Amino acid sequence: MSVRVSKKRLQQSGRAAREILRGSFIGHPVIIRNLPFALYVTGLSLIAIWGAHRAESRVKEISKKVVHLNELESEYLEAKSNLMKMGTESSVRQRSQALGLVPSHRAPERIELPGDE
Amino acid sequence: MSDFDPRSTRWLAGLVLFISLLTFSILGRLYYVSFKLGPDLVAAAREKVIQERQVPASRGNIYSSDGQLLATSMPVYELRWDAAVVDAERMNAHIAETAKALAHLLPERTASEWGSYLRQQFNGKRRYALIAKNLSYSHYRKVAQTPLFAGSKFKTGLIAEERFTRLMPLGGLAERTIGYQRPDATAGLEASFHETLRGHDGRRWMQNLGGNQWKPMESSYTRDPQNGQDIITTLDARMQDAAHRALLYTLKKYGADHGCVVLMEVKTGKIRAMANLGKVPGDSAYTELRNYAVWEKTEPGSTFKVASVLIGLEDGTVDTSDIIDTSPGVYTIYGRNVNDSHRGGYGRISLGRSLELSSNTGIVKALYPKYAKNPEAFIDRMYQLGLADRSGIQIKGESMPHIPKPGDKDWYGTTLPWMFFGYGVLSTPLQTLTFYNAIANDGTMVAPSLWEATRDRGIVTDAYETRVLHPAIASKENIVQIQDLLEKIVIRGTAKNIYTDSLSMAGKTGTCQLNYWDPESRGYQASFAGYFPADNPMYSCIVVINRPVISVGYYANIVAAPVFRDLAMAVYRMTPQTSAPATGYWAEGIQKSHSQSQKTMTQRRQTAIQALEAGRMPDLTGWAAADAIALLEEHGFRIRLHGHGRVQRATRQDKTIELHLG
Repeated sequence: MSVRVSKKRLQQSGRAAREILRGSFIGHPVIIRNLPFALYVTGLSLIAIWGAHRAESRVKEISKKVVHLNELESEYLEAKSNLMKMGTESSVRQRSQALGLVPSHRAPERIELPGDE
Repeated sequence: MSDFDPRSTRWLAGLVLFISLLTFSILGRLYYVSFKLGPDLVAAAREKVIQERQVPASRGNIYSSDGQLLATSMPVYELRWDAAVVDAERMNAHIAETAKALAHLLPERTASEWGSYLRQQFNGKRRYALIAKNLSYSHYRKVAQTPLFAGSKFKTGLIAEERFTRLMPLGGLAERTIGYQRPDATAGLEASFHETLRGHDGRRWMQNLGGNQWKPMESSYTRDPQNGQDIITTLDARMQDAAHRALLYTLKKYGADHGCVVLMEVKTGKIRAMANLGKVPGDSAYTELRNYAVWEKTEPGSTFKVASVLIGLEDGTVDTSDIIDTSPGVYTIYGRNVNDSHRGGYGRISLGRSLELSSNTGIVKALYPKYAKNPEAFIDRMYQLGLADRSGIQIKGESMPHIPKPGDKDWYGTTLPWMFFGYGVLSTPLQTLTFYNAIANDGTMVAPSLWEATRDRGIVTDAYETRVLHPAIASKENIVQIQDLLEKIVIRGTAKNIYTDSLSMAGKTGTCQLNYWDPESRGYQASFAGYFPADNPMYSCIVVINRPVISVGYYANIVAAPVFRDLAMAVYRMTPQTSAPATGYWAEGIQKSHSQSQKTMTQRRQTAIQALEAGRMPDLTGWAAADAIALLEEHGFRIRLHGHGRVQRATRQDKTIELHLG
């Protein structure tokens, strides 16, 4: 059971495999000539990867900020609501009653001074 | 094969064969995955990782005309607990203290109930146990600071989920008028202006980054999100507060079932206050339950007499100087008695005086002989006065007024004479007010409005223009006569109890019996409709109090008219009167002291700022607390106040300054 393979061809393909494994094709003049372009492409891809990473961290940062913003907004609205409620005449009246203050019976008068705008 | 030679041909052939097989199998698999499974996998990946997602639009705010925020969207929090995350040591160390703190913060459970609830969740290793819903931010922070939940969520297992809800910063004020928009129910301005307020959600392709984080994939939207616009209402927060206060006080005092107050600007029809309060079933508290002013139609009672007399004047069938004998205070038509509230009547008085005293017999005796044979003439005039129409207010659910007609199946011989004093007719408080406003406005009937303007990012995009419903409901002379009578009602008529010399008012009382046919559900409705100041009407107002406790009081002049007066006085106090420009000695004196005090204040401020910037404590003695707080807070201090008045002493500790006032 002998396989009839041309010894020459077998040697040829063996050499080719060796060449690939050895990596000598890297020094091939075509590759050397295009090295700047290859570097340029590599640079571009690095920038693209870096950009994507930044975008992701931006998104994470934004979503954290949004949570914080909502918290602040909620806190602000609560304080504002309390202030508004405390500022109504009804609650000022109630609180100032303890001090013996009552609302005036007359409307305020606006005094205009000559020369005032 | 004892000596292995890597250069041997056989070995090389084997290697090449092996690599080729590997390559082919990979290529084959690649082909299978990309072309056979490919389309399905791509679709699945897209669904998970790449989605066209909604970019929600934020809902617009509702403002009062004086710039106060009436409704806005606010985040609220739902707290869940992943009990499986917590270790036993932590649990045992903190559970008792936490349960006690929670009972204080979330009183729906007692401390021991909280303790056993938390323990139960912990033992069951629940991953999503409910702690509380709809907490405000500060409330949520307080819960998050209890011992068990304080710290990173990976240790405590506390999960806070955020959701947006509507908040009315002024609490219960005008709650019903502002309303709500929920999937199951809608009411008020939130519903009427829903389309303007809500905006449109946008859509955009986004890529998932794990968790709930999404990265936009393109710089443009598939559909741009459009935030909702703001609505500015005609309501004035201060006037609304005054109306609410006056109404609440009276409802409580007379134990009434419900009531409403509407305040309207005479020239424009803009509603400055609309308060509706009803008794909470099974409770003594009052809250905004329904918009009675817009929805509830009842028999107006005596406030309607003004319309009856005006119709008579317009037709020329009566004159305010006609003399009528009101004694004995009873007038029988078809076997039914028209009674005066004053037993025995008022004797021989003019028609004008009958209106001032609200004499039922006087009005009926004057009008009935003129219209008994021709009721259509009276009814037609009612239509002309605009009494048969809706006011067209921008709130859903306005009731249609009801005016009986001859030929109706419930039209009796007594229908017309009872209409003269406001029975058989049905109208809402707002419709009655629209009519009174027309009288105050010299006969021009304008539509009431709650909408002042629409604003988009600070820019007004649309504004209300006064809508005239009826340029002249009656002749000028007749309107003046009615105005004169309405003023006299407050000076010497049924409402003389609210007279004050600081503000002239005009209006008509109405005490109306409800369900007079049924002794079980009988009750009263006290109302007052009018305007102020009487000599130059600025505002018209209606007060309706439904079912006051009869033993405490039910007459309109006692129950409803004081609410009108209180509101009128409050509004009057809010409106500064401009006196003639000051001259001479006075003006000089005021100007001098004004500029003097401004100068010293500027100087003192500068000295204080210099001291603060140099890191010293400034001398604030004698400063008004407000000035001191403003200055110190600008420089990053926190202030604690003690007492009232001006600053006497200030002490500093780090970034906190205590101001002692006196």
